[in-house]
Amino acid sequence: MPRPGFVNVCAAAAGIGFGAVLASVITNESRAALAAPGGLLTAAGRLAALTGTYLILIMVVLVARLPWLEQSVGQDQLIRWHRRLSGWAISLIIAHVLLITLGYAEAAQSTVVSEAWLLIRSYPDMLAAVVGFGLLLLAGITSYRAVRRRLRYETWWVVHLYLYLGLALAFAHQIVTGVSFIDHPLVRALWIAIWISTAGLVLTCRFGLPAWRSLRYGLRVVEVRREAADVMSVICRGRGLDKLPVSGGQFFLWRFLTRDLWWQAHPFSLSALPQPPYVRITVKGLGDASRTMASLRPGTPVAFEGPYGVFTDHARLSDGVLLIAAGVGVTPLRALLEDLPRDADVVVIVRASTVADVPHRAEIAALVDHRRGRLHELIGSRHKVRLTARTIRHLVPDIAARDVYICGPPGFGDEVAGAAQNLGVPDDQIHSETFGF
Amino acid sequence: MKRAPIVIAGTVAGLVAVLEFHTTPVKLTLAGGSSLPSAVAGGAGATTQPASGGSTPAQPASAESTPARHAQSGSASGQTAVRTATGERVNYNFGVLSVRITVSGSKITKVGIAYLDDSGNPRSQFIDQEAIPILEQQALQAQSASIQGVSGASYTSAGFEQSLQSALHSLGK
Repeated sequence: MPRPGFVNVCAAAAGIGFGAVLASVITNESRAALAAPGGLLTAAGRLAALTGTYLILIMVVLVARLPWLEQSVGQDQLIRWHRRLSGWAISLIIAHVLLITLGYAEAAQSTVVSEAWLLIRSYPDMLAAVVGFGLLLLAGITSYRAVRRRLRYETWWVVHLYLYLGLALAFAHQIVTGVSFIDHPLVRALWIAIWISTAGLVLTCRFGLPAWRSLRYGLRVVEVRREAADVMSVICRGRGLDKLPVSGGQFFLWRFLTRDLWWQAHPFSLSALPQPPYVRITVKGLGDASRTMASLRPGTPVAFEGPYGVFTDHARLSDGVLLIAAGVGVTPLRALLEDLPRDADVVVIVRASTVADVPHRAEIAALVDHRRGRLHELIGSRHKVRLTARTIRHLVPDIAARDVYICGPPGFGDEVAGAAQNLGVPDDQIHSETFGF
Repeated sequence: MKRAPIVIAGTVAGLVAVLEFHTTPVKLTLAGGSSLPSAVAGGAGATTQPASGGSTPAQPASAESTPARHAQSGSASGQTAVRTATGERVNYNFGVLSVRITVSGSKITKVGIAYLDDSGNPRSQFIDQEAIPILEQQALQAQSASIQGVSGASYTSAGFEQSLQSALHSLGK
């Protein structure tokens, strides 16, 4: 259930926290300290440290998979915010390191290099902080698009995971050496509270909740069914699946607990609402993992995280719906179709190179027929058949009064969303789900 | 994922190395202190030792690490009185300190720290370690509590000055 009010509460809390941190740093400075040699530099360094670290903690919370936040905003939006903050956060921490070293060096009348070495060898926990800083830089560099493209996903993911360790290593020097906290027990308490809250959220929502859910529902593979040339369905069986809080169109992160696949989490949408005790996903065989999945044995346990995604009926604003999919993109739409209310006016457009490229074609046709909707299949090679704004307008003249759900590869999604905008569909009535995010 | 054991082993090794890294923290020694050189201290007063504790071997006045002594007056040879006093403990915002002085006649011959607690913060310790010897020298040169203070250690300077003043007051200066 989306909770838009909750997002506002979170944003307000984050803002208030930032303000409190900012105020603490500023009021803890003294004119005498600022006037001393290196005083301005170190004060700026402290400001950068506290604000930068606060932003990092916000970034951690954004991807901690808080259920209420995720349901209201969606995983991909949260990740977008996470990415946007990253530049600021890392820059502030780099500034902190430079400003403090320069400031201390000026106060001690020594060179920057010798001061840096003095900091590491005589201040406790400073070496750990330096290592944490290195891990932060490494995560930032590897996430830079130009670099990330050249890395295997697993490498990037492991480097990013080390950030948890980096944060833990950096914490000690903040509390022990932080000048802003000397003689200010309330500020220190606030800082520790922020850290504990973040850690608590991560442990609960990022690790605890998924683990508990996986154990509770106890999913196991029952069958791997071939739908088309490189498209397969994986059907799993679980306990008490009628209690699983999932809406049509949502996805889970799936972990098949085999020796090769256990450490990978793959986002796959349900291709139908759960039919207790069974759930089904439909996957296109791209990449090593998907191919390995083809040989999954019945009885393999499955761990999962989720459900995630706002590509659901809850996001619908109008009474009419237009579902547009390309190829295996019909998967979430097939589930969404089941979840739409009785009286929704449904039009479905499916774009694929051949008929065989549309999984569950018969099921979709049956569902559309049952609702007295319209189904348009645009089959053919990309050169012969094109899904343009004009085509859409011809097929669905009243598109501007509908909610448009689009699912397919990134290029397709952008094109169709652009076409919908041009045809007068308001932005909040356009819902997109792209694979390979 | 095949390299997982290597990566994990490397991480553990690195972590142990970082956590075991021994820093040599800056620590202020309280027993020390600054004194005037024997020539400046003047005449016989410099070499006079207190009557009690007579087994103390003769030492030049500029010796360090003399044990704490209570305020005393007089000596066997009836030379100028040597008195010590400890100033009040002052909270200087980053901790608490008090100053001890030794006065020979009317001259302050030794200034040192009697008590220092800067809550273990390494930065405070570092600043204090740099500033306090300078403050002691300033006190000896000024021969009063009107010292300039150390830039970058204004709180320590103010606390030092205040405790020094109270020590001087207690000796009637």
